[in-house]
Parts: sequence; C-alpha cells; structure tokens
Amino acid sequence: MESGIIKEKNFFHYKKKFTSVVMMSLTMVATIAAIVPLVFIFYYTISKGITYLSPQFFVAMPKPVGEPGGGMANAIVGTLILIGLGGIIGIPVGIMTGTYLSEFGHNKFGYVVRFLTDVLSGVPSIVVGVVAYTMVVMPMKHFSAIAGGIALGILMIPTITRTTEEMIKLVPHALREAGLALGIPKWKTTLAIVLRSAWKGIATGVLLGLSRAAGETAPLLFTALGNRFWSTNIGQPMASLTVYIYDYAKSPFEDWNQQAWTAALVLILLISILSLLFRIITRSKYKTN
Amino acid sequence: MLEHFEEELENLKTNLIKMASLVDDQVNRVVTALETDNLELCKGVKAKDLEVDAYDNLVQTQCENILALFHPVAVDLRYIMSALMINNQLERCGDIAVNIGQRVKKAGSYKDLIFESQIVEMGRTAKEMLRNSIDSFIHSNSELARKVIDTDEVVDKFNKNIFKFLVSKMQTNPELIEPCAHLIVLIRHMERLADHATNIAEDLIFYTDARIITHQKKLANREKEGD
Amino acid sequence: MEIKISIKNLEAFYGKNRVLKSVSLDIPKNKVVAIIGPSGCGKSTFIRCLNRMHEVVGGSMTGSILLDGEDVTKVDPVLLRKRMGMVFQKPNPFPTMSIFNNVAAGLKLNGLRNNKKLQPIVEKCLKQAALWEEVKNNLDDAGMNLSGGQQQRLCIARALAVDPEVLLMDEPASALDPISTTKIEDLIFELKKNYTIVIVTHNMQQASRVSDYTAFFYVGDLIEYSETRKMFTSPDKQQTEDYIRGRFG
Repeated sequence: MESGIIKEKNFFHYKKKFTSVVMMSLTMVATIAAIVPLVFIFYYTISKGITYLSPQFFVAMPKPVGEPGGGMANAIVGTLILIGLGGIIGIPVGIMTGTYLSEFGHNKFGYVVRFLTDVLSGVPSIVVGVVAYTMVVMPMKHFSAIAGGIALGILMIPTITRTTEEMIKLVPHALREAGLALGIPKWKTTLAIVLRSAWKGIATGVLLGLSRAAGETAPLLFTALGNRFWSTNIGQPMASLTVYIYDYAKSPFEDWNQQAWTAALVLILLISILSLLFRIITRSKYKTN
Repeated sequence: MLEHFEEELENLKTNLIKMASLVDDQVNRVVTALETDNLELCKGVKAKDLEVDAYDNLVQTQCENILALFHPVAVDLRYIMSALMINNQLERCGDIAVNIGQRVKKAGSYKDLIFESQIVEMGRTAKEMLRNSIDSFIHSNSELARKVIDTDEVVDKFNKNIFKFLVSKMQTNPELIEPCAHLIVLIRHMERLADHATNIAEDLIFYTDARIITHQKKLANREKEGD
Repeated sequence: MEIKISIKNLEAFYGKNRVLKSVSLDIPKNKVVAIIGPSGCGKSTFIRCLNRMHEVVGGSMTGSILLDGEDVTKVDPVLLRKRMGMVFQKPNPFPTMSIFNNVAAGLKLNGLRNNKKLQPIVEKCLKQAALWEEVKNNLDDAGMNLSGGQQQRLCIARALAVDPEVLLMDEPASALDPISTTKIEDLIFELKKNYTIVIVTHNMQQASRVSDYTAFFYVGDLIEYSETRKMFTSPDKQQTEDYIRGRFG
C-alpha cells in the first residue's frame, strides 16, 4: 500500500496546480504587454512611413514644402558620418578602458574609473550635448559634425567599456595561463588571446553603442545642428535623420510630417542592417559540434 | 598498452628462461653422470647453483617491482604470480641437482646395481618432465603441462618399485648395503625433482587457464575418505 | 646524473599564508619526477613556482630555484617560461584558433609568422605529441573540435613548439578517460628522452607507472623524495607508506 500522503490527489495538489496555472498566465500576459508597444511601433512606422519610401528617398535632397520628389540623402549620410565619428572616439577609448579595467583594474584607481563610467552612462544625453557645445562649438565658433561626433563618442564610451569588461571577464583564466605559460608577455596575451576570444561579445557592445548613438537627437541639436544642403565636411554643421525627424515632425506641413515617418522607418532599418552586419561578421568560422 | 610494462615483463621472462636453462643443465649433468659414470660432469653443478640462487633473488625483486609499480590485473597478475612460484620451484630443483650429484659420486661406480634397478630410466623420465615443464612455461603450452602432470604417476611407480628392489638387494647382498642406501636417497631426490616439475606445470596452468589444480588429487582423495 | 633543476629551501606564500615550507629537492635531467600528495598539500603551487606562474595569481616565494645553475628569479619570466613549458589539468587550446595555429601560437606570437617555416615545426611537435596521424589532414579545423584526450595532446604539442627543456605537467590526465590517460602516459615515457619532466598527479598508480623519482608532499612539507621503485616497495617514512597504502588522505 503506497504512501497515501504523496499519492493522494488532495487539497495541496490542487492548490499547487492552480498557483502554477495562474503564474504561467501572468507571465504570458506580461510578455504580451512587453511585445505590444514594439508591435505598435513597427506597425505605425511601417504603415505611415512606407508611402514615401522609395529609392529616391535615399538619393534625393530635401525639397521645399509641397514639391514632390524630395529625399533625405544628406540626413542618411550625415547620420552615418556622425556615428562613424563617434565610433572613432568611443570605440577605441571604450575597448581600451574595458580591457584595462578587467585585466589591471583591481585596485583603487580601477574602482574610481568604474564608478565614473557608471555615472557617465547615467548622464542625460542633452547634458553631454551642452558640454560638447561649450568645449567644441564655442572655440570653433560654429556648429560642426566634429562636435556632434565628440558628443556621440562620449555617449558610447560607458556602454562599450562595460560590455568589454564583462566579456573579457568571461574569458576563462585558463586561456590567459596558457598564453603566459608559453612565454608570451602579458600585454600580448591580453591582446592576441584574451581580446581575440572576447571579440564577439565586444562587437555586440560596440553595436549597442553605435545604435544608441544613431538614435540620439538632443546632443546633435547643440553640436551638429543640421544642414539643409548636401555636405560631407565634418568641420561644418551636418544633417542627421534624428534631427530631421524632430524638425519635420513638429512642422505644420503634412507633407513634412509624412517624410518624418519615412525618416523614422529608415532609421529603424539602418539600425537593423547594422545589427545584421554584425551578426554576419561575428558568426563562427568553424562548424560547431 | 604501456610499452615499458611490456618491456619489464619481457625482461622477467628472459631471466626466468636463463635461470631455467641453468637448472636444466645441472639436472642433465647429474643424470648423464649417473648413466655413464662420468663423475667429471658433476663438477660444475655446485658452482652453477650459486648462479641459480642469484637469479632467484633477481626474479623475486623484479616481480616485486612490477607488482608495486604497475599493479597488474587478470592475466598479467597471474603471470607474475606464476613467475614467482616457478622461480621458487626452479631454485629447489637446482638444490636437488646438487644433492643428486653428491649421491652419484658415492654410488656411481656400482654399474650393475644401477643398471638392474632401472634408476637411469627414472632419472631420464624426471629430467624430461623438468625440461617439458620449462618448455610449457616458455611457450605457454598447457597441453604439454598436462602431459607433465600425468607423467608424475610414472615416476611415483618407479620410486616404489626401485625402493622395493633395493631393499631386497640389501637383504640378499649385505655388502651392497652402503651403495643401496645412497641410491635410496638418490631416488628420493629424483621423486622430489619430478614433483617440482609437476608443480611448475600446475603453476603454468594457473597462468593460462586461471585454475588452481595444485593438490587436486590429494584434496579429492581426502573428500572421498571423509565420507 | 646531471641535475636540471635544483631547489633549495623553497617557501611559497599567498599573501601572508605560507603554503610551501622549506622544500629542497633536485630534479635530474631527462627523468620524470612525480609529485604526489593529498589535496591542498602544495603540489600545484610547487610546480607553478618553478616557472614563476605562481606570481601571476598573486603569490610570492623565497628560497632558490636554479635551472642549469641559473637563479630563475633573476631571469625574465617570459624567457624562463620558454624554457619551462606547462601543461594544465583541463585542456585549454585557444578557442579562436585552428589546430595548426594552436601549435604555432607560442612561435607566432613571438614573431615567427612565416607559415612555411612553421609547418615543419608544427608537424614535428604533433608527431612528438602522438597526434599527427589523427589530425594531419585537418590542420585548419578548430582546435576545440577535438576530443578531450586529443585537445590535451594538442596542448602538449603547443608547449613543445617553443622548444622548452623542461615540461611541467599539472595533473595532465585527470580530466581524461582511461584510454586517453594511457596514451598520455606512453607519451611521457617517450618524451623523457628529450625533456626533463615534472608531473603533478593525485593518482598514485599513475605516478608509479610513469615516473623515475617521486616526491611526496603533505600540507606544504616535502615528506619523502626517492626513486619511484623504492618509494612504492619500501618507503622510508611511515607517513609515506600510510599514504600510498591509502590509509589516509
């Protein structure tokens, strides 16, 4: 005769089952709640932005209100240049800081740097924009893409630093040991073995940083400002998709509002392509077991 | 397969073979000396025995090392165990050969007595048993080993018959009491030699067949008596 | 008998914690010395002092370690580690590199990048590590795709590629299955013709099969050091005998 307490379908059994079902349902509801806004964003952006989306949008310059056939070539190129400039500053600084922190930063100085990085990641982007204005725009006496790049670069640094540090920490100590035991100096071990093992994770961090930068508006208002015309001169103001969305969306013209949606769609597409690119680059060269 | 374990085993086998051939030579000498009354042959036997004793110690140390360092199991373990036992048997055979030699010196000149008593046949049989048992070990031939074990009966019969013959001879020819006494001790030695050869064969079967057949007959008989 | 490494009064510390107490022993050239003892007795620390890997994790040491008469603390650790290769318990091939590049890593990262020149060295080391036959047609495959035993042999080949004089092995077979273990043991037996080998093992049977000399450590002390044959047939110290009989630890 088996133990009755365990085999019986008694009150406790049903209570447990009930709790389980309730919790499952709650988590499903929460998941749906999280996905819904995303779905809405995509829905609106695509449905509203698709109208003006054509090859022309990518190559034509903005036209005065009402005139058909306008595009945002300058803004698209501008965004790319700006995040490129930001990357030139943010990526090396971020990776090197992250590397330093994880390999050598187990001291007071490292603690301070880590703390400051965290603080920096919390600074509102508009504040960074104002600082860049003071540091770059004012001495130069005009707005420029350089200033915008600097602002975006500063914004990228905390993300990239943190991710780099975490990814390097994940590299097993055994690999460092193996490198050192072969008579490879520490700096080379860090570079050729540790970083090489962690590079995929680091690339993800870089992608996150670049995507964040691509979506920034406020700092650009104080630095790159914007440009009606075609310009790739980084010493001059430069157009960007985000500033255009800002300008066009708040304008009273419907035509421009429409274009703003399209710009938004293009921005989202840009970030998606960037992400896809990174996936392709970081895919494994070898077939895994 | 651990190469140097195999090397050690080969080494061990080589030493046993060398030791066995020394003993075989000793026995051969004394039995031939008995046959031909060539006492010269008995000379080297004692000296050889020192070599045999040296091999005894060497083999024992080798087995100890192999057990300690390689912890053999299954057939390898049985091999080492049988090597130790055979080592022991061979050493005793060497001693027996020396003893036989001493008896041959004392009674070897009594040719007619020796011929009549058929001691030489017994000696040849015992010698062949030893040689075959050694052969069976070198070639891991359990068939041959069984033949050796079966031949022990023959030697036992020889032992009984020759003893009877010698006793009766002592009764009829009192002048032959001394040589007969020596010969009685000699056949005792030969019987022991055959026993050791049998033991070697049984140890070999332990190695090849993993069966302990030593003392089989005695134990079987005791069981029968016990009923 | 030539002495390759001479150790006198070696003491090792982790911060204030003393983990090795006044160890002195001589490691003969082209022989295998096994270090045995229960967990925590300091055997891994000992071997890591020899090529100064102990410092990498924040340890310190006093006493003298002479490699061919030279004090190892006065030599650049990077150069020292090229003379004393190390193989670790868990195989650790570089995950982003092919088999070829793994073996060549020590050389490539020290400046020798010419693949033509590297090819014969890689082949020789893989042959020495008894791995060549199994991988000669797949040298560009990922090192991580090999089995555990193969990975460990790959690590051995990698260590051999920088042409060390001494091989330090920290429980090289403890993460492997019995057949791979036997392969590694056979390998060690072959390698000692050309290299001096120090192997840490918690497996006494392995120590008895593979080594010429054995050192028994207990809680940071060197209890006994003698020829392996002697240690496993009639050790001097009761503690040693109790340990190898399995009566403690």
